Amino acid sequence: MIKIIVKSIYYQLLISLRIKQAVFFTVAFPIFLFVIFGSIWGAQHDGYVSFLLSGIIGMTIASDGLFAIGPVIKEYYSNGLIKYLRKLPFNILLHFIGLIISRIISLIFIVLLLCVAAYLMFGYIVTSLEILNFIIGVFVGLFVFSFLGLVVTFSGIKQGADKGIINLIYFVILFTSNAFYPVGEFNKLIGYIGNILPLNQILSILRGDGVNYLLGIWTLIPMLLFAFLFKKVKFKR
Amino acid sequence: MNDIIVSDVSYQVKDKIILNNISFTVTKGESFALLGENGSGKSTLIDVILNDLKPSKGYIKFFEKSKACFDKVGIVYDQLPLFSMLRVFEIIKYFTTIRKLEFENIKKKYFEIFEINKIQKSFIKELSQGEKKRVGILLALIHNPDLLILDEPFANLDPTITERLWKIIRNENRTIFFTTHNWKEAEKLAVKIAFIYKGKVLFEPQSPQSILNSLPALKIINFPKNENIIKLLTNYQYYLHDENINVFFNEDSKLLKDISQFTNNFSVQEVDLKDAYLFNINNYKA
Amino acid sequence: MQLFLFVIFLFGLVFFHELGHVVSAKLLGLSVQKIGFQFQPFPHFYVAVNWPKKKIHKFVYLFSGTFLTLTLFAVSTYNHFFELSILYWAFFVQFIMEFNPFYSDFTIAFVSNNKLNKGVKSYADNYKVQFQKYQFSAKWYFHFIIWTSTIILLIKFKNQFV
Repeated sequence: MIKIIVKSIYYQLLISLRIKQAVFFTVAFPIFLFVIFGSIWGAQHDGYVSFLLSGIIGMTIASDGLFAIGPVIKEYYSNGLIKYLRKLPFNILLHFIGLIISRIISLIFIVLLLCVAAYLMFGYIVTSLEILNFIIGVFVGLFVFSFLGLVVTFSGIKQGADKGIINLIYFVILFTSNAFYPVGEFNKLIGYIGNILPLNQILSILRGDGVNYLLGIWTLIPMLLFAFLFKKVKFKR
Repeated sequence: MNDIIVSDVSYQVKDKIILNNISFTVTKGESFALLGENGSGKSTLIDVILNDLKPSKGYIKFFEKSKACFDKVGIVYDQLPLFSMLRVFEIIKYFTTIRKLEFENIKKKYFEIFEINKIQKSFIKELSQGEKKRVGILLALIHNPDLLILDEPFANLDPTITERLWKIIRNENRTIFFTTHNWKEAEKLAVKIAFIYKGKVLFEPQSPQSILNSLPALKIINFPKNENIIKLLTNYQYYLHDENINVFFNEDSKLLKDISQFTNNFSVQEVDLKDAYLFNINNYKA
Repeated sequence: MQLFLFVIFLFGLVFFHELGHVVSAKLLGLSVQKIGFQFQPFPHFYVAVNWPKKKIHKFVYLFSGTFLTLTLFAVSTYNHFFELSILYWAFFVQFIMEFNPFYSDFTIAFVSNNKLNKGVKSYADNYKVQFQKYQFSAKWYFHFIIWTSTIILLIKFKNQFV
């Protein structure tokens, strides 16, 4: 069983490394945003580098969860891979566990890269408590956003249109959140919307600010919705 | 022992009947072909047999057990779903890990025969349909299954490689159930054939020779549809297909003479399974 | 007022950039077909010429716009940007656009060939095909890192220039 999970993790990582666009948006782009924004505002505002670091990590967790899990699993169903794997003498969940763990490994690697970038570019040293918060944020955030992505992709929307909707959801969540700046200080309404949406809850974990009940709602509801939608979904032959 | 039992299987989607009361058995060691034109229900039946679709009525049994277990079954789907960004050898390695086999043994045994050496470093997305099929058949065989279920296994494959692969597939008295719309292939490879048309099996599955023997004659004349000639055919059995008439005849020179009065555009051939299928569906429609 | 000045300066820089292309085209004997504006892949002005046959002419033509921008930057630096930090930011935006690794004279220079690929009908389609191979390659990442470093340097050393 362990061998299968290890192989699944290895091949999922290999697949994601071979999709050049995915590598750019998961690895290079977050670092790019971090160093640019940090360079523009980091010197002027104390604490902005650590604020931005957690914000960029939150952004990356959200994008990974929404784009790298749900649509991939939906694709597995659409192209018949699930029914094919089901015939093999193993629990298909092991394959999905491998997929999830590969995303966690990839996210933790990006977190470490960002921490290194923070030190090299801004002389900022990340504390072990912050690293712990980042890792917890990765686990919780990936869980929340994966199910959110799964809900959208399995909601019966036409294939192709679901990608557009996930993009829209991602950008709304991102730009109403406190990822790059405290939005509420510029616009109270947008700040209020951002506080309801899940990214600010994850950012609270990443910044060590604790959690509130909204995180529980964002954890539970997408999971239940997905379970309901999954039973209803029918794939055309 | 019956490796596959299909009993009164029907499958319906809303008001449309896709499969209608299908029953047959596949005995151990048999190679059984399910023949039919596109849209006849072959792939739907495969999906029902493989538990991918739940039948509206009836049941399927493997190895005479009610619970489906695919450990000793090898499967090749028509459109092979694999990870497009993995290389061929990586897919095979992953499957050998799942099946607790040694990759090196599989490589030694199958790579040359399946001509995998040339394509082992190619990405799945780069493979042609035929190459994908070869990989699919290899993956279905690596665990030495007792039963193979193949959906259009030799589509897009070279006839020479088809022959070579068939020898390996047929090895060790393996039971094989496959669908095809290649009449020649079915006649050559199958011991038993079932025709499927509009979701129904036309008659009790039989050997190819037995099906051909059940036809009105062993030769057939083919010519374009002509109302004057049709009037002459009162004592002959024939079928219409694609605006052509196909008449069964037993070296009757009078018929040839009569036909040649109206047209020189005709051909005489030995009957084959395609004629048997088309003749039976014409009768079915009537 | 600052925004107005910024827009004026930026348009001025774009004008001189395109002027660089026009002048080099004339000097190289390339006929200028059109000076226009398009929205794809992002809103920008362009100069369309009969494509140079020699590689050296291609590079001279493509880099002439940036050469003129760099010349203006050098002159402005020497004059401390005439004490106008908004001019500095106009250059900043212009450099981001000119050096970007997604669509710029640099990507066209790196990616385009004189010959059309097989099965491709036009140089524009040829560029698309070749850019897809180039994007996210090691060479492209090198370009991306240079571009990012340029942006960071321009941010970090602004106070030394203005």
